[in-house]
Amino acid sequence: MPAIDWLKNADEALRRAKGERKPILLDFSAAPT
Amino acid sequence: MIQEHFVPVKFHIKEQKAMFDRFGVLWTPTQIILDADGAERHRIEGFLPADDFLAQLEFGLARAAFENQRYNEAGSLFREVVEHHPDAGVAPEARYWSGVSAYKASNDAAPLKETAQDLSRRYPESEWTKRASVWAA
Repeated sequence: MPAIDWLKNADEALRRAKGERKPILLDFSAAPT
Repeated sequence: MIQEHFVPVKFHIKEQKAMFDRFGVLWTPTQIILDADGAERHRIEGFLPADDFLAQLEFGLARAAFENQRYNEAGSLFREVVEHHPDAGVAPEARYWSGVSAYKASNDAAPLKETAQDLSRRYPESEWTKRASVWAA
């Protein structure tokens, strides 16, 4: 499975989503990193 | 699947607590699907096994299309959830909304009756079968 390039910034994601017309997946975690 | 269909963003409670507050997240893990305009369309709270998780992601794509009134696309996506993940917890709900999408796209009530019958046959114990039962007559 290819690695996922997770963003860390919601506003950047919103800008990118508008441009690409793609939904956004927000993942909220408390798991050890 | 995630990279192909979504702009993915990850927040950790220790690093970005403000984002938990901004989106009203009170428990982990939580995933929220926003449409391309930033409106929340689906929320997943708590751990799920892989098949159920993927089904929920696909369901979220379908909800985003449905709530933006793209009913033909939504119907296809809801049907795919049922076809790809027939045993997932969200499958009966996806079957329900596939019927609603078909009705919304066509203004023909026949898909609702067919949906009620299909739900009754495939998922007799589901809450969504009860909700669709009014269409069966």
